Amino acid sequence: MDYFFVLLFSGLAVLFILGGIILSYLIAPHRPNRIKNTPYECGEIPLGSAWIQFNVGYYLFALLFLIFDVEAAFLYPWAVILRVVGFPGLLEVGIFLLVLILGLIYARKKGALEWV
Amino acid sequence: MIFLPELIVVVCAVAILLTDLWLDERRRVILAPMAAIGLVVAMASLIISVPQNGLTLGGRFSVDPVGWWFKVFFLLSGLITILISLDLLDGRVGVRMRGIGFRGEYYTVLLATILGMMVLVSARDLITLYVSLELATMPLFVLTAWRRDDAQSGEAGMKYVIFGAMASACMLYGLGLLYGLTGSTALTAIDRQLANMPAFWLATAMLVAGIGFKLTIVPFHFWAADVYQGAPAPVTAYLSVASKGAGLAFAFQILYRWMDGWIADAAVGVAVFAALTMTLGNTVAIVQHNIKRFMAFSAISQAGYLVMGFVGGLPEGIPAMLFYLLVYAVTNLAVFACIVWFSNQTGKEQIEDYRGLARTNPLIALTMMLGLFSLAGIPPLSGFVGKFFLFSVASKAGFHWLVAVAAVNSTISLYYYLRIVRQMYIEPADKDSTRLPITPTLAATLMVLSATQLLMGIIPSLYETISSQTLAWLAR
Repeated sequence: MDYFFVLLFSGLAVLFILGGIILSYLIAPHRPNRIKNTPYECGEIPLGSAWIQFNVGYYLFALLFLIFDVEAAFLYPWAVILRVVGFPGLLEVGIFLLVLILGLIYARKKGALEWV
Repeated sequence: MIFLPELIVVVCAVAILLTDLWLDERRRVILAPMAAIGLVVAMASLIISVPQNGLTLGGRFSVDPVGWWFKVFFLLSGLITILISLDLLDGRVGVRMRGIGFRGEYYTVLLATILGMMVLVSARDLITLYVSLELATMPLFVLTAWRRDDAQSGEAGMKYVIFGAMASACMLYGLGLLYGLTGSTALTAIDRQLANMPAFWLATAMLVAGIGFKLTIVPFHFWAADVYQGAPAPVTAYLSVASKGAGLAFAFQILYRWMDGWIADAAVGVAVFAALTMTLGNTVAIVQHNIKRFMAFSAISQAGYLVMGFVGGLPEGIPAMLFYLLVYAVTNLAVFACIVWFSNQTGKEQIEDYRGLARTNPLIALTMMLGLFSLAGIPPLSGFVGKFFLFSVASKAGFHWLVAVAAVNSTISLYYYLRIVRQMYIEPADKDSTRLPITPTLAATLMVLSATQLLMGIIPSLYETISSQTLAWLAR
């Protein structure tokens, strides 16, 4: 009987999603036209198709950015308790940064940072 | 410093990555010896510190004889994988393969998975356990898709990533439930707090799905055939041996280190899984034509034999499984060394292409035949001894029907292993077929593997050592 509420919760979760979709389908008016079907781009009139090819280099930059972004996020909590963790903490962060710098050296040497 | 072997592997991987950056393409041949030497040194440091017990890093990392033997297995299979893949990567092949190379990255990634597996057997904390499992699995996705111009290799990598992510999600959910139930991430604390309730069984089911994925236990085996076929042959060899070992190590961590009180209740379930796995693997292998796909199903059936050691949770199951894992590594890698050699020299992978190999290359055909017979379990080869111990564990636990199923399966497996032997020995060779050359490294590897595989079956001291060490640890 402990699990009754788990069951109730999962039932309600499914009902909530399905109910929302079905209800909005039932009561919303269906009058599609050309302007209504265009993609919404902050009110601007869209230029061309969204299915265009763009440089794969964006992915490399995004990946590298993500790594160093997460690094910065990790450094904040460490900086807050710097006095508590002391020298061992400094050493651990040093190792952590070393691993990331290794990745940066690799990316730099392989030319991932050069825009082609 | 009980994590010295792991440290050596990390340092070696970093050294290879950095050396690779400042070398020109021609000098990169030294990377493979670097990786091999790194693994040998790690192995030496492991052996010097003979099975020892110890805890470090706040109880998150520990070493005991069982983990020690698993580490020997991982380092050994990694070393052999490097030895059989260096010809392909350095381009010393008869038929050049497009889109293979990036040697520095290859060895770094390979060492990373070995590291993940080694930490996996030592982890005593949920988070370490999960992170190390991911470290062991993710580089394998990359290795599978290593031939980047090859559609099949890419497809294999994609399938592996998707199935792998699914399995990881399942596993993480299971671990999360365990944490929720017990409020602790330390394995010892979880062991004390677990109680028999539905959420616990849900967590166990999730974990079993994750382990089943790694070990290719039957309902979770779908990825294996395509991934094994698409991956480059040395990677397939590594996948079929080390990845399975990692699955077994994870199962071991969970079944023996936490749930040892429940493992006897789960015996029927384990037995059913084992029977299903070996039967499906064996029957489907009969109709395969591609040799890597064939080996995939053979590996599935071997996983079925392997999990028989868990039946009943008897202490004898542990040395039996460890011994069979070592035997399986040596035997399977011997067979794969032949497959790698053949695909390097001819670029062919169909079983029919092996016809007449005994006329042109009698010695290699002989080693391959010995390896296949050992996989089938013919005495006096080591595969027979390994199976004998596993079967006797099952029969001691009272599962005589499982032993009967396994025995029938061994007979079926003999039939399809003989299909290859028949192609090599009975079918006539093509008229224009000539003797194929073999590189010294591969020849030496093959010779050592074959000799080891024979000796392990004849000399009993290896099993006795494993058995006395692990049983002494268990009795503690």
